[in-house]
Amino acid sequence: MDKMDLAQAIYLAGKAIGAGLAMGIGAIGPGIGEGNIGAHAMDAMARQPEMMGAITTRMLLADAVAESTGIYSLLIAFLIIFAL
Amino acid sequence: MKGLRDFAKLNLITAFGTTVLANIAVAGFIGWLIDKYTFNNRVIFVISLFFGTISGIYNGVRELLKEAEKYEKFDKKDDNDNSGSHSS
Amino acid sequence: MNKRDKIFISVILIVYFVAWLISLKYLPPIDEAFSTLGHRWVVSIGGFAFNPATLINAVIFFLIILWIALSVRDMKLVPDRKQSIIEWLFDTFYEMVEDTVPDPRFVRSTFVIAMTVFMFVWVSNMLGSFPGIVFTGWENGKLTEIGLFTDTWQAPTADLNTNLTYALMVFVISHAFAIKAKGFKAWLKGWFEPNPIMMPMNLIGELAKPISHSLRLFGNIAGGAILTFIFSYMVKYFLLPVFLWGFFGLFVGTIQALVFSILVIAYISAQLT
Repeated sequence: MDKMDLAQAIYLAGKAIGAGLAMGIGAIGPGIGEGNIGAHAMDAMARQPEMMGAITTRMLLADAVAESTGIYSLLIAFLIIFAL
Repeated sequence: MKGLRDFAKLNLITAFGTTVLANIAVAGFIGWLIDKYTFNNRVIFVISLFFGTISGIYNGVRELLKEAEKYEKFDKKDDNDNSGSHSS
Repeated sequence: MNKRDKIFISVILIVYFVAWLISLKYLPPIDEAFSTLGHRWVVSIGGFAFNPATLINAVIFFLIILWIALSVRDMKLVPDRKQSIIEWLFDTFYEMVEDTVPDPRFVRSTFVIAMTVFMFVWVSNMLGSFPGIVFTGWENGKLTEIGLFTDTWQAPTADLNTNLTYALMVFVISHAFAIKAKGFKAWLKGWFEPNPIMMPMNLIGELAKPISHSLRLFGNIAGGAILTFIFSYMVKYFLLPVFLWGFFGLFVGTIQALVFSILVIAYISAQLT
């Protein structure tokens, strides 16, 4: 890598830290949410094993809504790295 | 048959997020194009981004509900087939 | 596992280890290895810029599919193992299309489109993170070197142009089927469905379908290829690339190919209802 001056180095470090924080903090919410959804779906399946197919479909549907914030933070991380 | 469809259900997880993002991107691109050839002051661009967000959530929720309905119909059909053939 | 298998496996492992030790000597330093990451070989002829690696790999994959098709050409009444696997796959897909598409006139053509897309995308995804011939490009699109077994194949599906072509084709085909099935007036009325205020939403939603359809496959396959490359370099190509190929090639590739072709069926059938 070529020698860079201090301003460029701080700029690069800020980009890397920002993208890492955006992805890392943004993954906390979906993790907690999907864990809750999975736990309650397991409870429901244990209570009513004959409803398993319907519960799985609805669980994935709720997972999709929880997961969307993770996808947004991934996009923001990419934008910080490549477009800033 | 059933195994393949269970795999395909995993598609639902990323469906909502990507639909919303694609809607915003398309609406932003259309707004940018219109803006470029009319007033060139970014007003139409911002308005169309709002339109994109609304349309993304509307279309995403509609798509999710449709997919869930489809899979539930299939599951019910499979259950009926199984109970008919095996009589268990 | 009998004694012969054990000897065979140990010989393979020893040969692998020795080959790895020899190859350590020729591994490029980290700057050189990562400097061409994500740069493609681009040739522009008469204003059309395209990636020849995609074309070459696509032709190779078409030849592989053709070879598989020729090897099961003579269908027997009592199927052997290879034929029964393919019959099961085609049967499953036909049933899925039959359940989803409401209009019986379009079942056969939808099945043909979805099955073709599935076979090509599946083969190309599976070989997508497999070491092979690699065309390394530089920033302005010049080809710098052709490597053998240094990196993973650039799968055709890891290039956005291929995916976008398929997705736009499905978009056009679905609307053509809708006009043919419902008539032009009913199709035009479908844009103003719940009420006329929702027309821009429907328009944006329809236009966004090919974008999200193609970007989902592209993101998964290209991201998997880049991750495989980085991790493989970090462990100096010792044993881990096999498992990474197993995960990104077999597992993710199969799921994404299935999802892509199921979305083809879903988008066509959504226009027909």
